[in-house]
Amino acid sequence: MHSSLFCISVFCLTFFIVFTQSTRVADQMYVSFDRARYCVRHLNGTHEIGCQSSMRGNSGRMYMIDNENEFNSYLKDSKTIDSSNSFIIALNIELFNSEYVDKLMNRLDSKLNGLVIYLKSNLSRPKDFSHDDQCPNHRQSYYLNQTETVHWNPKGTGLFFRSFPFPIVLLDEKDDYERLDKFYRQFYNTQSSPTCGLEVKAFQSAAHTSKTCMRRNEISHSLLDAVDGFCDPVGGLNIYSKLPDSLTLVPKQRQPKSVVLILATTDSFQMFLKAQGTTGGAQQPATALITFLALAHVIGQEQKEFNKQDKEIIFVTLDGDALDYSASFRFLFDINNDYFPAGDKNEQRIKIEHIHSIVEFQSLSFSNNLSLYAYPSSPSIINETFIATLLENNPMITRMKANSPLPPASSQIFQRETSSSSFPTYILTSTNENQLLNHYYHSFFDDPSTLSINISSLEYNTTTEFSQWIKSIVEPLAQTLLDSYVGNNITNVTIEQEIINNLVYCVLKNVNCPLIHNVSNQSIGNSFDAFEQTSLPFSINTYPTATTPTFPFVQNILSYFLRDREYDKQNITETKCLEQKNNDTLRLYRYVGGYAPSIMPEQNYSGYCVRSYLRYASSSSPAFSIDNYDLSQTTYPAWTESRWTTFTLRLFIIPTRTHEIVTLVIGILLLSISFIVFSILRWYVKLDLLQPSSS
Amino acid sequence: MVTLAKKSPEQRLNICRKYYLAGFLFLPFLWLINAIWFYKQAFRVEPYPEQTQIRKYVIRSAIGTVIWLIIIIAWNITFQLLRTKIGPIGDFLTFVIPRGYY
Repeated sequence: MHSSLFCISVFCLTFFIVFTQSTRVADQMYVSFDRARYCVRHLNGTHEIGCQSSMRGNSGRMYMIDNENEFNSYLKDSKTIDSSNSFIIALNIELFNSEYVDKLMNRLDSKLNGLVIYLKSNLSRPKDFSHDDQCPNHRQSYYLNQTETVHWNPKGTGLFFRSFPFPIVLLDEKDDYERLDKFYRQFYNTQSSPTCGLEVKAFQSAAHTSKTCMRRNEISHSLLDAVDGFCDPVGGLNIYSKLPDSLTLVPKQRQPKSVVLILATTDSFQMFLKAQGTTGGAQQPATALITFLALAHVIGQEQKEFNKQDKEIIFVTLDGDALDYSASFRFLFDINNDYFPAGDKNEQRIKIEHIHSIVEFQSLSFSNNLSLYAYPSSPSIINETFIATLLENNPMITRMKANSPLPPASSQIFQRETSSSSFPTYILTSTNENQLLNHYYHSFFDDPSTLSINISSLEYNTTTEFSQWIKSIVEPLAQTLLDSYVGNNITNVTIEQEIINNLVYCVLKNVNCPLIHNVSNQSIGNSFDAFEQTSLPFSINTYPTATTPTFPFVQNILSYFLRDREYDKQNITETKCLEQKNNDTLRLYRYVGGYAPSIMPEQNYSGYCVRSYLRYASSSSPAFSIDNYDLSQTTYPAWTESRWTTFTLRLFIIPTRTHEIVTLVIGILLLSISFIVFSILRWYVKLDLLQPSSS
Repeated sequence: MVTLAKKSPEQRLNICRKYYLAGFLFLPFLWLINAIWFYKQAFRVEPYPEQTQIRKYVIRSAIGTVIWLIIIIAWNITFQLLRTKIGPIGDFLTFVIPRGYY
């Protein structure tokens, strides 16, 4: 009897399992939004900025505010506000600025448990969306003692640099907005019906300041050696390259004022991050970076001429300047500590007195007006002939008058730390009347559509107006450099349009492009396969560097463009190429497939040994490398980024009060009934089933 | 389980003394257990020769427990209030560093 009962129950159970569609109850309760952007926490020496949720997530009743009228009526609606003790407000992206957020925080105080910002569609994106300060990097600008601040970013809300006790999420996908709206409208009728609730989980590990957090990183009382950090210092790599023949070796002395630095940055930041999403940065720094790389190619093309003169033109990329110019401080710190150029001691170090001038590309936007800032303006330092030649070669450039305030640019730190008495800096940027032309400065909206590029139809070799515009900037600038440094024999320096088209495609659409495979060796080329169909990311990099493709991309392309082109003609095999590095420790040798538009048409090999010069150094702020440096000092910036694990955003239904009470009562009833039934069974029924079977 | 009723009075005194002495090694819980376990023996059972000694130990254990309780509560309150205000020492004394909060 016992065994047959057992068989029957097993059969019933299997029947139910196999023939019903089993789903988890949790899946039916929640609607997840997986493609949202989240605000994270950053710390500097004295403050924390960004957003934080509790470890289990912040949840609250959802309330959607679509326009200013609804906003004002919500603030006055005491009945709704009192009906729940935590709210998560879904706010239209047009209302996301400091005025509305402050009003909301004041009215709701601790009831505000989170903000979800929604974008209705990509076509209706706001005209300005920047959460950097109105004067970016004002904490470390050269004009620290100036009384008037210039508002380079007039529509900047400054919200990135504020600290919020709740998480802020942004939904930028159209169908996410439609789902959110559909559920909200379905359940928002009267006070008594069930309402939507939202739960946001965006827990950040770091707190207080960089000083506290870095100290806590080191403390570990655990017996297992798992030191799980709280935050990471901001920093990446500063990369530099030049023509391989322009080396100054010990014991030859370097001449003063013989080094020209060409600068561009490789980082940006956004307030809202997405795991696999675009990072913005098209106008700054992508445009500047593309111009920088194209200029490097022209210099590499004309290296025969440039090698005749004695100036070294060094191309430098800085990573980390978006937050208080950390990379520029580090670069100057390296110069002062005999660490520039890094590497082999046989190469003479460069000091401040060796710098002849700096040319910087910063915040370039696709417009027909370029501004040239030349600083300092005293005639003994500035080279007026150089400027005159440049303006003559490129009529798009307007020179800003002397002593006009400098836009946010790395050069500010170069001037500041050297008391601006040694060398001139020339900044090429897109500004208009002391305002940047970039409406999406340091925001994820800064994408190729702002450059009039239709990214979906962009191919590897599409000639866009944008790439033609880049060509029209690079050629006159290279011409000017040639005229100024080499002489006047060469006219009409050109660069193939194809090269710029390829650069635009690789940087803005798909970093896993033929160009990068052609200029790097096999293993590095293969590492780019993981980044298929992603653009080059421009965001805050932390040290130790995560797997970002930005650095190998810049390293390989920059060094290849500036390579020794004579060396190409020597048909060297791969094994011999790899052996070369044993003889020559100053230059880099690698065996690559070769990038066709860059190679002389007469050569026709299946592979090339490339001789180039490449160095890189960590770009994290000197605050993190100096021993016993107190991170709360403001001498050097000390930015760190918090660690986090998962981000989730979920929607669920909050039932009415009656529903909740009924559920509770039924539960209690079931519990008591089960106790009663079991005690009845115990007293009145003989429980043979529980005795060991004696049959 | 040790039942005190089954032991002879000398054995009971022995156990009580051992707990009392061991508690001096910074083990206040031994004093607490001592006081509670031997309370019945010390005050509620019919008098026997060793009971005076046991009574002495039980009272002293109770006093020791109270002193330790005061010390522990005072330290707990001080640490919780001053953890973030005394600089790096607070972090070095914390066994589990809080995540996400100062």
